[in-house]
Amino acid sequence: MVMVLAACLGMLALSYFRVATESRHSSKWHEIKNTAIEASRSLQEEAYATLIKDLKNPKSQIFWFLLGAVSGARNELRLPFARQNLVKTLPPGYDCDFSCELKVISFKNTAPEGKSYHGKHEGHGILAIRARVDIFRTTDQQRKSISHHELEIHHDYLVASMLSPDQHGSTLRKALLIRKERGCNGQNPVISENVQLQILQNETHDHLEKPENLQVFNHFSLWARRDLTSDDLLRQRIIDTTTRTLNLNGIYHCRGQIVFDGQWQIRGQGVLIADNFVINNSIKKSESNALAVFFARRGNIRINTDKEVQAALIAINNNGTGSIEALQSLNLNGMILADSLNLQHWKPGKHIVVYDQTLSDPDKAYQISVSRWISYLGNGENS
Amino acid sequence: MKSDKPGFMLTEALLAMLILGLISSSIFFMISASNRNSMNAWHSLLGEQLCSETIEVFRSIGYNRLSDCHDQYIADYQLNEWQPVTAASKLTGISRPEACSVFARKITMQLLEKDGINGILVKVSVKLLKSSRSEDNEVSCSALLMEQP
Repeated sequence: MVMVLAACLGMLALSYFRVATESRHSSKWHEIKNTAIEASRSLQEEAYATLIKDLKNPKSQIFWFLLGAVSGARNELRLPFARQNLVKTLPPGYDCDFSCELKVISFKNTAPEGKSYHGKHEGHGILAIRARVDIFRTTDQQRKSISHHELEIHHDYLVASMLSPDQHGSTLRKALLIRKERGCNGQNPVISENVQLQILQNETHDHLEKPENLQVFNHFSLWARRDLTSDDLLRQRIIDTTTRTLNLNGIYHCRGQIVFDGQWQIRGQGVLIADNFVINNSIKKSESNALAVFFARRGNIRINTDKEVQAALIAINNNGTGSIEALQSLNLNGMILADSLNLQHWKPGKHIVVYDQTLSDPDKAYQISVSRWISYLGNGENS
Repeated sequence: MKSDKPGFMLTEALLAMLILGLISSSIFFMISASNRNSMNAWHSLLGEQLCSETIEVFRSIGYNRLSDCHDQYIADYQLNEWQPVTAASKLTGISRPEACSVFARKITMQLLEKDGINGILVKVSVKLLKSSRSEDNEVSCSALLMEQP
């Protein structure tokens, strides 16, 4: 009887010891699982930051991947920051492997209303960022997998040309385009007694529809940001007042008027759409392939400087009242597209418009914008 | 007069008491240890939640504001020193279970950079304020918070 009781006691003690050990292990496993989740979130953050940074560089691998990607395309993403630092987030005695890839879930080259985009790469799609972390424990030269976690996040993205292409290429392919062939008093819209407008363009393009039918940037689904305020432009550093730089990487729509006081430089390629513009000083490119298009959708573009402005100026609207006004001698390196020029409001004298060749090749003016908003988040252990 | 009924001998009675004592002390020991384990698990859970809370708040503050901050306090969170956890924070509006007030929390931050990508390593440790075996009850969590463009 004593032996039986002793055996029972021994078994009871052994069982309890095992339960206690399992309890300790499960507590540690839970901690490591949390670490894996945090690590996968860190990978996602770095992947998104790398994506946005690389998309500003048209020569980057990610830019070229997304420019020609079709639904289902995949691309591995290298994350040097995580490669160096992720192990610092793990408890001593643990290490990890990780991977991160981009996947195009879907890509459409037609607008939601059914019209097809004219640019051969233009379209909108859904991009997935997939991050996976495997955590290992190394003991006595053995590497044992402890936990793994996978995080998948979807973002919408746009591929848009900054030159609003039609079937023949850039719609901004002439130095001067006036939609109204006759001015309000029946005179030629580009000839005035006091104003001498000199147009310099190296190449001529014959394939151009009647300018009165010309529409530009009318696919709203390709606008990267809409209904911004002037404060939003400053807050999002699209207009950076500290460095006096216009950081353009897509089509941005702003309500109200935009006024450029002082000297500005253009970085990147993009379109600013607003009700009207006032330019009071020079605007120059920071590099040769930079490109800026200012599109006044409701009013005029007023240029109150004789310094060089390197931008395409568009002032057209459905009422046909968009116009460009040069209050000083115009020195424009770009192009003009307007309903009318209203030369009676221009300063008498000589004005120069030199066509910018970067406005002629739509293949070199694509921008890819990835939304900040997450449209899907998948979390789990499945591979 | 002597009884005919057989009884327990003293040694038998003593042996039975010994066995009973051993069994009952084992059971008491197990109940006590089980309670201790349950309490440890509860404290570990709370500790992990307090760590995660800090990481979430710091993630929402973002790299730019965290890297610019040179104060010892960020949104009611003290850096580099053990700080007792309160059940409610007026500044952040976060309310916690009453049991959280038995913990202290330490947060450290380290700026990191690689190939033009910036980030912050945030380490959070939580431990019981009064514990004889504090090393067993300390819970830690780390995360890399990246600079977002």
